[in-house]
Amino acid sequence: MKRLSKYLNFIILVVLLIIVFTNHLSKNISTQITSILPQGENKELLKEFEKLNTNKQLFISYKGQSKDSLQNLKKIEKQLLQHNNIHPITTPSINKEYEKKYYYLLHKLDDKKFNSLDIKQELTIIHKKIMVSTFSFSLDTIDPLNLYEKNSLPKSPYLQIENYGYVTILQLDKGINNFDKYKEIYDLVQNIKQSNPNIEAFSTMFYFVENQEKIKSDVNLIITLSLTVLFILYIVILRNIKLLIHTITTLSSSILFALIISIFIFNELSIFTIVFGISISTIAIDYMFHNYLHGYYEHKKTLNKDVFFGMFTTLGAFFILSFVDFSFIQQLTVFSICSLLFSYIQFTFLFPHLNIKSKQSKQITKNKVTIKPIFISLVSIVLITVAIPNIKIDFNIKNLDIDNQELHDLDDFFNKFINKDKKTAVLLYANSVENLIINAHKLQTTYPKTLNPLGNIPTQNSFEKFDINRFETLNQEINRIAKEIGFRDNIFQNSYKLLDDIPKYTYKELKEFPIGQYKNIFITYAIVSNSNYDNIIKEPYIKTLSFKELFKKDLTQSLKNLQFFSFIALLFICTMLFVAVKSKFFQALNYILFPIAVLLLLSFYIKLNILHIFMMIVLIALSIDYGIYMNSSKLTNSTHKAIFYSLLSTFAGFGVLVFSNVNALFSIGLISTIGIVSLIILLLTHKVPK
Amino acid sequence: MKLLLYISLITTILFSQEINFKETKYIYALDNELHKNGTLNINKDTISLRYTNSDQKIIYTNDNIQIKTKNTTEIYTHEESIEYNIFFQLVLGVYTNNSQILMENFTIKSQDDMTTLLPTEYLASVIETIEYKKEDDKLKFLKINFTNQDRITIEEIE
Repeated sequence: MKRLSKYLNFIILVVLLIIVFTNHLSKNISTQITSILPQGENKELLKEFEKLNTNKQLFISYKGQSKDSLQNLKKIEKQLLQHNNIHPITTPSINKEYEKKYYYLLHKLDDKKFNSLDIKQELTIIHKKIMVSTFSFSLDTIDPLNLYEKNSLPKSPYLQIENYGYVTILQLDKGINNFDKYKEIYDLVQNIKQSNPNIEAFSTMFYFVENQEKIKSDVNLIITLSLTVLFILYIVILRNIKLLIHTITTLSSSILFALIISIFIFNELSIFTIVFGISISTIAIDYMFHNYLHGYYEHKKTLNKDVFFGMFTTLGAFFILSFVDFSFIQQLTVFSICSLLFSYIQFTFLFPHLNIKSKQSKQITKNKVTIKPIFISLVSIVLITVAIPNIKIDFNIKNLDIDNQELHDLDDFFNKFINKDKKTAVLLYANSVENLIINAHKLQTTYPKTLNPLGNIPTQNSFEKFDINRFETLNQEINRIAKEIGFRDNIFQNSYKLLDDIPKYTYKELKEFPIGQYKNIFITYAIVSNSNYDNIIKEPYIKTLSFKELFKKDLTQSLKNLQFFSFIALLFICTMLFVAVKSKFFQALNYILFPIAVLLLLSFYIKLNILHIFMMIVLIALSIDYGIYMNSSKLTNSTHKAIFYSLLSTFAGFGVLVFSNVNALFSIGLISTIGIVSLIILLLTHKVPK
Repeated sequence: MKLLLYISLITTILFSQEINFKETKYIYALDNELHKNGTLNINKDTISLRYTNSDQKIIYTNDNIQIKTKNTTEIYTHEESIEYNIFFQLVLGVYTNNSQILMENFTIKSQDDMTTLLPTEYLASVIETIEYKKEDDKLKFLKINFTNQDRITIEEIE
C-alpha cells in the first residue's frame, strides 16, 4: 500500500492521459474565437457565415509592365494552381439555365435605347461586324440589340495596374481550416516569392501562420525565463527536486481532470477557457507550499484548516459565478473548480504519504516596516473610488493579437488596387430564400454601392414589371428584319422572350450563391462601404459580423446577471473571510482591496481588455487565500515564506509574460506583475510574530 | 559596332518567316462561308497579319497590339485586345513549335501527327477546340471550333 501511494501520483497522471488520448478529447477543443460566445442564434449564424467562405483568397502581384511580367505571373499562377486547395477565382453566379431563362429579369434594361430603337440599323451593324471580324463574332441571340448589360468575351483574370504591373486573385479551398494546411500554402507561396523578388503575395490566412510563428518564438523566450525562476525557487531556495516533480505531476493531472469533466459537461470547450483555466489551476501551488512549509508532509498531517478555508472560499466564489448566463464564464468556472479541487485533494491527502522531507530553506523576508491595516484599507477604497469612473473596457479581442505591420502593409498594398474604399461584411437574414432575396434587393436599392451577391436576382416584383406584349412585338420584328438582311432563319427566335413563368427560388437552385441556413433562418452576406456601415447595421434584416460587437452585445445582455452573481460571490467571500479570521476581517480584506486598487490605477493609462479582467479574477482568487493565511491565528514565519514562494511561482507562471511582445500575453503578464508586487508590499508591511 | 549590326541582321533574317495562308470561315449566324487569303510575317519580336484586298495591318509586339491602316494607328494592350492576343499567341506557338506558349491557355493533346488544343477554364466559354496538323514544319491546317458553332480553318499555301 505504501509502495502504491508512492507512485499513485504518476499512475493517476498516466490514467488521465490515456482517457484524454483514447477519447480524442482534443477534437472537442475549439480554436474558433466564436466558441466563447454564448450559445444562441448569433453564434450559430456567425458559424454559418464562416462556411460561406468569403475571404479565403490569395492575392499575387508581379512588378513590371512588360509582357514578360504577365507571362511570369501566369507561370506562378499555374504553379500555385497545382496545389489541391488553390483554385481560380469564381464569382457567385446563378446557374446557366436559370440565367438563360430569366436573362431579362436579371439584367438592367436601357429604357432610353429601347424607346429610340432602329432594329434594321442595329441588325445591319451586327451583320457587318460579323463579316469583318478577324476572329469569331460572339453573337448574343438573347440580347442581340444590346439593350441589357453584357460581356461578349470573358474578361482577363489579370488586373493590369498602372505604373506597377499585374495582379491575380486565387481562391483557397473552403475545406482548409487548420494550421498545417495554411502553413503548407504559406510555405509554397514564400518559396516562390524567394526565387522571384518581383512578387508580392497576401492572404488573410498569412496572419494566422506568421502570428503563430511569432508566438512560438516568444513563448520559447518566456519558457526559458519561467524555468530559470522555477529553478532558482526549487533548486536554489527550496533545494527539493522531488517536491518539484510531484507538484508538476499533480498540476498536470489537475488540468487533464478538469479538461475531461468540462468536455463531458459542455461538449465543446474553447481554447481560451483552457488557457485561462490552466492559469487558474496553477494557483493551487500555494496549497502545497503551506502544507510543505508548515511541516504537514514531513509529519504526515493532512487537513490544514487555513488551506481548507482558502480553497473553499475560492471554489465557492467560482461556483456562484458559474450561474452567470455567459458560456465562457461558465466553462471557465467549472474548469477552475475541477482543477483546484483535484489539486487540493492531492496536495492534502496524497502528498503526506510521498515521504517528502522539509529541507532548510533560506530566510528571505524580514518585515522591518509595518503599516496599520486601516490605513491600507482607506487608501485602497479611495483609489478604487477614484479609478472606477475612469474604467474603459476594450471589447475588441483583435487588439490582443500581434501587431504584424509587414502584413498590414501588404494588406493595404492589395486593397489599394482592389478595393478603393474600405469595406466591411454584414450578414443578411430572413425566414425564407424568397424573403432573403427581397431583403438583398432592399439593401441594393438603398445602398447601390453595396456588393451583394443576391442583390440582382429577379423577384416576383421584377417579373410583374416585365412588359410581355412589348417584347413579343420586338421579337417578331427582329426575326422579320433579320431574315431580310441575311441572317440564318430563326436565329433570333428566342430573343426577348421569357421562357418560363414566375421565378421560384429554392435553396437548391441557388446553391452556387453564398446562402447558409440555420434552422428556419436563411443567411447571406453583403460587403458594405464603411461610410454607410452605421446606418446599414440598423436595418432590421441585417446583423453585424463583427466579433467585437457580438461579444459586447452578448456580454451587455448578461451584464445584470453578471453583476448580481458577482455581488453574491463577493458577499460569500466576505462571509468566509469573517468566519476564517473573525476579528482580523478588515485586515484580511486588504489582501483583496489593495491589489484591486493598484490594478485599477492602470485605467488612468490604458483601456482594460478582457485578459486584464480575467487575470484580475485569478489574482483575487490568490489574494483570498493569502488574506486567510496571513490573518490566521496560526500565523508564523513559515506562512510568510509559503506565500512568498507561492508568489514567486506565480511570477514564474504569469509574471514573466510581461516580457512578451504578444499583446495578449503582455496583458496577462502586466496584471500578474503589478498584482504580485502589490501583494509583496502587503506581506512586507504585515506584522508577523516570530 | 559593325559586328553587332551584322549579328542583328543575321538574327532578323534567321527568325523572319513569311507565311501565305488561305482562311475559310464558317459563320453559323449567317449560315455562310467566307474565304480570305492573307500573309503572316513572323519576326523575332513581332508578328504581323494582313489580308489580301485590305489596307488593315495588325501588328503584335511584346508590349502591345497595333492596328494600322493608311491613315490611322490604334494601339491596344494585350489585355484590351484579348481576341488578337489569343490568336497571335496561337500562331506563335504553332509556328515556332513552342508548347510553353500554347500551354498558357490550352491543354495539348497529340495523336499521330494531329494536335488538339483544349482551352483553359476562362477561354472555354468562347473556344471549343483547336486542331492542327503540321508536315515538315509546314502547317497543313489549323481549325478553330468556337462554342457559337463558328469555325475558322487556316491552310498554308505556297
